[in-house]
Amino acid sequence: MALGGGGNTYPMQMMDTVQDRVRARDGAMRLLNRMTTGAAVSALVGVGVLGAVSAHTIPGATSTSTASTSTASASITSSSTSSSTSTSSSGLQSSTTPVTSSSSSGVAVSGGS
Amino acid sequence: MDNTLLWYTTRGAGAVTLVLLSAVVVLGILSVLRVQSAGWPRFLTVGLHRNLALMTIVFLALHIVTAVIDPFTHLGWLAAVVPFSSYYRTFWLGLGTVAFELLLAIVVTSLVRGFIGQSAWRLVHWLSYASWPVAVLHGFGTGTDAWSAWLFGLQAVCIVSVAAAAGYRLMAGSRDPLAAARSSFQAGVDRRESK
Amino acid sequence: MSRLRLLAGPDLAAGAERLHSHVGRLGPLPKGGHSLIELLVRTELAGRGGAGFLAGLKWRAVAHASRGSAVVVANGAEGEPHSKKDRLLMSTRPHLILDGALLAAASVHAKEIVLYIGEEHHSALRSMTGALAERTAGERRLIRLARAPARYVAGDSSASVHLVDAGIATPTTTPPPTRERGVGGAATLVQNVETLAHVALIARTGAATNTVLVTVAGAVRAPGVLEVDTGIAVGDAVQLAGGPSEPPRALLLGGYFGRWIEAADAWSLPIDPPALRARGLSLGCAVLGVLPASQCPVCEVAGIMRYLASESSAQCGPCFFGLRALADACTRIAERGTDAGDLQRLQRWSAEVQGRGACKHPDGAVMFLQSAMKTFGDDFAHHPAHLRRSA
Repeated sequence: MALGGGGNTYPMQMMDTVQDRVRARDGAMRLLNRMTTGAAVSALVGVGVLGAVSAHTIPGATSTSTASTSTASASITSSSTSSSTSTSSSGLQSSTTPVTSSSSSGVAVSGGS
Repeated sequence: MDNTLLWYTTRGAGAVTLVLLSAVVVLGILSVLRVQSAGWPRFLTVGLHRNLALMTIVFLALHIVTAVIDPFTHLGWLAAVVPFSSYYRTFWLGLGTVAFELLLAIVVTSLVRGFIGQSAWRLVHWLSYASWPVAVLHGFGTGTDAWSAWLFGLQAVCIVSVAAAAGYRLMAGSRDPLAAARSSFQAGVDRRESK
Repeated sequence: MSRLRLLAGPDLAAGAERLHSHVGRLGPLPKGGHSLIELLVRTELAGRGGAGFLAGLKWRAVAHASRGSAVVVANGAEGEPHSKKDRLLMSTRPHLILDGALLAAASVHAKEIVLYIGEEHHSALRSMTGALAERTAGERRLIRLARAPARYVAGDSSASVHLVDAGIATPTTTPPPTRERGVGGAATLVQNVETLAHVALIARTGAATNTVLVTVAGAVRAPGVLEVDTGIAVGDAVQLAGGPSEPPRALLLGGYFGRWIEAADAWSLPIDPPALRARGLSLGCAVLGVLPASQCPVCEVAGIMRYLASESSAQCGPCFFGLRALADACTRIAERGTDAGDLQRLQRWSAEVQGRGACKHPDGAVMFLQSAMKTFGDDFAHHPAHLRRSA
């Protein structure tokens, strides 16, 4: 070849290996795409399913349970439109100030650990 | 009802993130071990590891955002970036922030690996062995559901998988399909006197 | 601009120029130092090793990082198969290179000079060793020889440092750069031998040189090394090499890490690094490879890709496996004819490999391939199967 680096053309048996390698890579690429898509769909569905399961196990409809360090609980009222207070011992809000929907750091006591 | 929807989404997304993160760590370990077969070449493990890592960041973002904007948590965006700055379960939530930032560092350095060089990238990537356990602890300590059967079960599966992969790595060492080619090339360009 | 040319002086066929002839023509060795560095910066001398980095800036950086223990590596490994300019320069004008290296050592406060010469380039080795024997004792004390293995990547500057430092000519990952930490941890200046030869002239005249060494290869009547004036058109350089031996199709500018250009567009290109950069091109290692119309570009590219893949130092997966995948795909097109997935495969694997290597070898190969696919798009898209016997 005029400019080639001296690489010869492949003999026939090596060509078959090349073909196999190329086919295998293609198959693997397809598998990667399918698995990625599958994972994404499963993850989205998972958020929904697990969110629903979590809603079922610890729903937000009622208020408190006594908080303890090992049992995770949060006191949340079911109302979302108006400000409201909650009664909780180690909850998120102080029992005196109304809830405001803002991203302030709040005035409540620090959560126990 | 809106608030609780946010709250359920936070928990669902948190669980999914943990599962994804665990899969990412397992795949990362498998790719170091150069696990491969005829139908599953090495680049597939690496590719899946990369794709799922990016997916983890997406669902982690969902988890963080829903937690912060939830009016009930009063968390504030600061808690998402400054560890141990929230008043709500300061320590356990703080762990989550730490895990998030470690993960962010790992992903960002991976995206700019060409600029920072192989060694710097590898150094930061080792932090993955820190970010996963910190994330797990965060799940146990902050999570509303940590001791609910479903999440406990999921966490157990994740922990067992990662532990198994890590254990396998410790025992199996690192089989390297490049080893033969590399040492043969090096032998050809080795000009040391004492050979 | 200076009138001095690198290859001026006695007939090249006479072999290495002796010291007395060299000094008689050009005068004694000037002094190096800070003022020489500034002169190089002013004259904008570009490196001739392939990257085209401004020499003055590199010298400044090494001088700054040097603590009096810097090292100068004169890189004459010339791993690019078709390039012959460095070998010719070493074989015929060794004192220009030694002058340049000594000037560099004085300017960057180096305590050692290493001449990195291809172990199979016997004439260059003989010539440089012979020239070294003619120098003063003080100069000889500073200089030693290191033989470069005959592999493509051995000419890479980090590989040269690795060979000199640790005895193994494999490229290393860059941070920190060798100009800060190289041989023995000291600041190291790696400079191509042609660049050093230019320095030897610039230091004497105080003015920029205005010639370039190029190797014309491929389908030309008189392939070989030419010293041409900067700015000359590629077509004129090709004419100086006897002109094309058959109708040309395209030019490969810059060797195997270079770019393909259609002959009609290539012929008017100026051989001038800044002008080429303005067009998004680079002189690289200054090989002008002429591809004739009778030669299949796809088959040529596949052969070169196979070579580049086989020259991987196997230090990282993307290079070793990635370049092999690309070479396989090119070979498949070359041997069996294009099919639907082939072009996608090439695109996909190129994107997988680029930027992921531990050194610059895979990037160079990928950019070469991408340039080929752009210039020979139709050929790649509609390549018929050639019936070939293995060579």
